[in-house]
Amino acid sequence: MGGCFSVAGDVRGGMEAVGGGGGGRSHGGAAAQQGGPNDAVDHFFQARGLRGLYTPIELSFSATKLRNMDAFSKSDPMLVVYTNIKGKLEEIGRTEVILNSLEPSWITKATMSYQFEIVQPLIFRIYDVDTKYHQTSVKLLKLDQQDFLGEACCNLSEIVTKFNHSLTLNLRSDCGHGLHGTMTVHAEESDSSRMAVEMTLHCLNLENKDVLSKSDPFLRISKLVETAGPIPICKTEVVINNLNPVWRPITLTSQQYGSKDNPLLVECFDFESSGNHELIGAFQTTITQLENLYASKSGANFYSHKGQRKMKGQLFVDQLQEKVQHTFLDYISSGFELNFMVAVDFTASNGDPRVPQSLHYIDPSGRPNSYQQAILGVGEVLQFYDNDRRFPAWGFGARTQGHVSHCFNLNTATNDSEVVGVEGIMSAYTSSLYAVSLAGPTMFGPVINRAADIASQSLQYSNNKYFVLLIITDGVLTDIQETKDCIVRASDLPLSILIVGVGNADFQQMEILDADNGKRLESSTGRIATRDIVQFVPMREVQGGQISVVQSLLEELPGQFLQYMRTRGIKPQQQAPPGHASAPVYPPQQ
Amino acid sequence: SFDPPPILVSPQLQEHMARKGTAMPMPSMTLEVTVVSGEAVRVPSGRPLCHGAYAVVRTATSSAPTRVDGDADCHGFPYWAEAVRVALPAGAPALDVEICCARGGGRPAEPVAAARVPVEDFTVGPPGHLHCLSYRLFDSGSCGIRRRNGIVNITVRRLDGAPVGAAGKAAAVPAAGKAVGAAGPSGSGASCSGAAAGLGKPAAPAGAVMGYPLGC
Repeated sequence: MGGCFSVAGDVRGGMEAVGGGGGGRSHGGAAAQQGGPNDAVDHFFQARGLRGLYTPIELSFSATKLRNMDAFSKSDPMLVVYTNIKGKLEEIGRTEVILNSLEPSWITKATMSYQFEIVQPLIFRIYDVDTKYHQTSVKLLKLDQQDFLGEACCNLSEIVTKFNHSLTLNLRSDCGHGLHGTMTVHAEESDSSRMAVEMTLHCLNLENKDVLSKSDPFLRISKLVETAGPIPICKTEVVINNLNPVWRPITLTSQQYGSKDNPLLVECFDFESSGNHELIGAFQTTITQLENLYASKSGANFYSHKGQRKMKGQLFVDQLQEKVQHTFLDYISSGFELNFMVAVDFTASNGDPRVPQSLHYIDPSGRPNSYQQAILGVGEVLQFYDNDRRFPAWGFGARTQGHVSHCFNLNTATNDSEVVGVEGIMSAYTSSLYAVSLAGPTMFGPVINRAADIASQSLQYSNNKYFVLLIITDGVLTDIQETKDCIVRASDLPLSILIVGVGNADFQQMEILDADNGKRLESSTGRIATRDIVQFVPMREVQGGQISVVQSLLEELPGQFLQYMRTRGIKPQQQAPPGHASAPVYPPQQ
Repeated sequence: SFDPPPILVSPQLQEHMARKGTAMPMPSMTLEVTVVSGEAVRVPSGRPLCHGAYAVVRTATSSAPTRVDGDADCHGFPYWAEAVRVALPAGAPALDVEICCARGGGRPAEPVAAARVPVEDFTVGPPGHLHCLSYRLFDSGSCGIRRRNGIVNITVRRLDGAPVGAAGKAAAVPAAGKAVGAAGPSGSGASCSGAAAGLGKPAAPAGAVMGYPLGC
């Protein structure tokens, strides 16, 4: 090895612990600091079609004032829940039949996985099951032979953002008329999804892989999934030149390891700066078996690559404790908000909005242009996490009232920075197109500063707001250093920045702002970003792919939110939020 | 695609710059500074800082050292997560964090690298709010050339003026057992680094697609 005296920052970055939480004791290296899974983990997920991890949710249902369809008794209701995938209804589950009740409270629950980054529409239909079918298993019931009692629909995010995770909906008839009855759906995140295990691991008698010095070992823990093979969930830092290494504590969340009996693969590698780490040994285990190792103080033997040869190297568990971690939904349902803000690029390089080639062209057929797609896609997901749905919306790079502005209110009618709802953003955007003349250059500094000002002002009032700025742009930045300075400053604020690149420009510099490569942004004054708050996606790259632009943009947000809250020791509120009409987020504009 | 070159600075930017320029002088403050860790720190000889690494937080009127990092094999990545308290006099523009190397044999400690922390960086939130900050270190060398060195990670909290309850809430000392997230040794949210490295992300199963509400 011998490279330890010339470690460049990026090599060292590769030696940091990732994905294990580190219990706050990690070196604070770039990778750990930014909290994102490392490239290897990300690559695995993408290559195998698995992105991120599951948040299983259990839905339970009740209804009141159902219609009575039976002549001599009351209805015998059953509820069926569907989700809408690509315009097609897919059944998630159905409840048992409750006899003779107009106020049923069903016992059977439906499970699905909550995904922050997509809208998950749910449709609930209630049927009166005819007596002659009561011996039939509910799974086999033909629904068109049953009497329809009413339906309701909502999005999963509307349920999970409610205090108590409960939402009551009015029932409608099959032709859309309102009915007297209501139904209530309750979403429960299983307690186990809050569990995490913190462990301190060490090894004895590892095999030496280096010629002139000893091995530089690190551990990688993967979850074994039948269909996808091993998915890395955590790696430790590298301990240099040591065959009996002790690593800093790692934390595995239950969302990472699944169940305690889910097979895990523990691999020990000798670190090579080339990235071709040499396997020292591996073995298969589970959290339960690791608990047994800890209790018995015994070691687990590593095996050679092919698994036949038992090696003398052993792994020991020095410490093991279970912890409870607050989840994203714990924060959201206790009154924490994601506040959405938008900034749209009005530079001349977009092309004259009146010609169809323009990126800003409003198609009379109603087909949204790239800007509209991005606003709609992100706005539709985020709107449910913002109580008042008043979104600041700005434009930049256009000539307004005679001079070029790099941050003007999109709402040209009232010149109020806020608009109401996603529809409000859409109409303000269209009206701006006719009210301003496209100019340039492309600068992000002023809009990021404006968003950062709002985020820092909100800190004075409360710590339960997190801000999300969406910037949609076609161009190459002229103020890259100013932008970096703003982002570095904002990394200590409750703010994340999503950038969508439209058109065919070279967006390489955006990748620099999106610190996924593990290099931390540095400002001109020597301040360094404490976390990655920028997520960049070019519109063209993801079009036609499996993952939509919006999903790839949004999937890091819950992690960035949690990292901000947890590192500052901010916890979900225990009581119900005092009404939704809370104090203004920030003082009104002059 | 190219846009015309910059012609003039927008009124918003001018306003922003003006605002930054005319900041009110800050009153005196008591600060809790947690020096979390250093990254890729080199001693003057060019080798990674290994033995005897400690940090000193300095203001015009006070200074406070951390303990020496017990890990002699830190290879330029010292770790303390230790909170110290300093007083910052009114109007002071900044405080300094210096990394030093204690040496054996009765020799004086060697200054290694330092970073300056402007007051604006930790007065964004109200008193009691924890600011997580990182800075480029520059050599403390006396040769007059300030060479870039590694990085230092710190957290800063203003103690005076913080409501007692609020300060406690923000500090959120993770209790043993049912602790939430990051438990730094100092217990004061010193874990800006790595605390959330293992966060689970909500999932999208293979082939998941965007859905749109049915117009409810």
